[in-house]
Amino acid sequence: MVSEDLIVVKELKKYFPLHMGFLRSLVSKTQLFVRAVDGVSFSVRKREIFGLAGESGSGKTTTGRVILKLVQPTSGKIFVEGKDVTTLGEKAFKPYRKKMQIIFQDPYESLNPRMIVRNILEEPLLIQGELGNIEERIYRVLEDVKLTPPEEFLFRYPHELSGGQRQRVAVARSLVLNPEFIVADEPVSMLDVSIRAEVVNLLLELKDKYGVSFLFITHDLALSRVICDRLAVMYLGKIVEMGETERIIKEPLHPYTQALLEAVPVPDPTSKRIEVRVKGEIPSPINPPSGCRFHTRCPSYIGEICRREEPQLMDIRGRMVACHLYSR
Amino acid sequence: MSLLDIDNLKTYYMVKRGYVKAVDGVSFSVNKGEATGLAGESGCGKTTVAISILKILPPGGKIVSGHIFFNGNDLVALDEDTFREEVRWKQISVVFQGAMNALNPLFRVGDQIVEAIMLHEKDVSRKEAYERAAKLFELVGIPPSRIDNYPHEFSGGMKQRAMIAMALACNPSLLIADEPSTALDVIVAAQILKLLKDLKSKLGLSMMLITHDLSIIAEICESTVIMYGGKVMEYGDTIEVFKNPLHPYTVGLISAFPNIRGERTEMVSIPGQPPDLLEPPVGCVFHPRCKYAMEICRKKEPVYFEFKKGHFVSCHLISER
Repeated sequence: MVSEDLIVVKELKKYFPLHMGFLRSLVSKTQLFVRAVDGVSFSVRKREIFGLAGESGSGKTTTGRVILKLVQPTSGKIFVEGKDVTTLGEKAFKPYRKKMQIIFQDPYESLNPRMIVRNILEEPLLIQGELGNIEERIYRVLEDVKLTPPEEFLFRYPHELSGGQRQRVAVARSLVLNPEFIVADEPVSMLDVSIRAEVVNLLLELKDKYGVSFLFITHDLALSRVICDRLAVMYLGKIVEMGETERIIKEPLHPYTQALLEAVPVPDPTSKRIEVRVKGEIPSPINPPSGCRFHTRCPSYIGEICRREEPQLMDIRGRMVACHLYSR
Repeated sequence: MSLLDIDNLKTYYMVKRGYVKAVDGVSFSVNKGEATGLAGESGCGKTTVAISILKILPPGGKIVSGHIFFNGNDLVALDEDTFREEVRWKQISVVFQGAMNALNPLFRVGDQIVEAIMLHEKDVSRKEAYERAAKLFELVGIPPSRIDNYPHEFSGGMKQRAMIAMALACNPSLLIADEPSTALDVIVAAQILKLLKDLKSKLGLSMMLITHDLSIIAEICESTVIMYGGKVMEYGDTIEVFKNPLHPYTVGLISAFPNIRGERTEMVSIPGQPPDLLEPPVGCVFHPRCKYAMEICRKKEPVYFEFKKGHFVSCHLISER
């Protein structure tokens, strides 16, 4: 089966200018930037859940936001169904907004506390001018996210709902316009363990039912294994390894991916213990290390080349890896 | 040998509408030199157990009944002055959730540790305390040269290490760690867990580890307590609890966790929500979410009993057997 690309991102960069104090800006000649996303390329296929994993500060959330044009990219291109939307203005982009939605991390923050569920779900339809069958569509979407019977939830405020129910309202809101692509930014990290599984299984079901594609942003590799078809591991604004999730989890090649996987505790007291071969924490994205950005913490550091030359993504054993270990 | 024995502890919070039974008849022990893990979802009462032991309950919270035996002495009966002078920090100390934000931003990290030492041990001079703080820094893996830094100069992981150093300042025999790695990144969290494990074996420290993440307990703790709705559902040796879980809730929690090693498994959810502790369900607190719920579960609260040596459970399914 040939799977089509729905979203294609090419050499995407997002630099945030660093605000300096007045006096310092007089003295300093150069404007400093936080290089949140620094040249990432990937594609999300139709009916696929594509995972972006990494520590905080790796640029995964910014990538998601840039794709939805919630922030403008500094450079690079974004294609939706083959069309370049990078420079489209807000008005021209509006039809695309209908196809591209987002679920935020914190359902306690992302729902307006003054709106009842019905209004929350109605708002996207009103904005997009889809005025037909509003009632019916809201009912259907509530049933889809298993908030049943819908009439019990329609007139409730977010504070009357539990965390899991709120997140399902947020999922319903992202679905009500029948989108083709949803950015899910850590959608279960704020939820309790027993409820987390419920929302995860719901997302998987919706993928099958509606054929929606997801960009699933997470720091939890164990979770990405359950959800994502393909996975990209990010470090300081760059993709270090990308390929089929199961392949990466079973045999990680990049030292950073290996380190991440070794650090995940396993809910089994008799299995292998966690290992931490990597020292320190993620460096600042203002002045990222030269060459390979991971070289300052890398347990497999091989010398000069890691410090001088930036490794490029290469096809190694059925996935893309950016590491000098494999370049010769 | 057990260091801490909690016996049928009940801690309630008084609110306008009545009593929130946050901890309602909890019993378990922490053995010397071992770690006991307290697992459960938010609102199950695990943090309340910790602050009951430390006697730092907020206004309205009260230990209603039960005993907390520490080295054989009942802490519940102890008056506040003696408790503060002899037990808190010297015997039992704590690292709280989000401890990285617990450091005062206006004071140097080292000075904050010196303060803790000097407050609890009156005969120690400032110079001695300072030297001890430097040793503690080394113990938790921060270069002692950083002792004069301010908290904002520390990364998240270093702040957490500093908090652990502070908790160890007066050589306690029991360390309570409440979600010690929750707000940290994967690799940093693993570093902190490793540190706790090393400290446990190096100092012979006993620990009570509170977490919602079963995999952290599997990693560190010798015994496991599974809490739900203010009660202990199951308690026993960690390997026993993970390999032969008795309570349906324990089984549910374990299968709700994705595993990174071995075969890819599906996540199984537990339908429903945690109970309202103002009006907990009649009978077994877990029955509204339990797929094996029987008639008796809705009527009678199951007794907490020893099913096998050292393996306790509270479930009608098991007691009926």
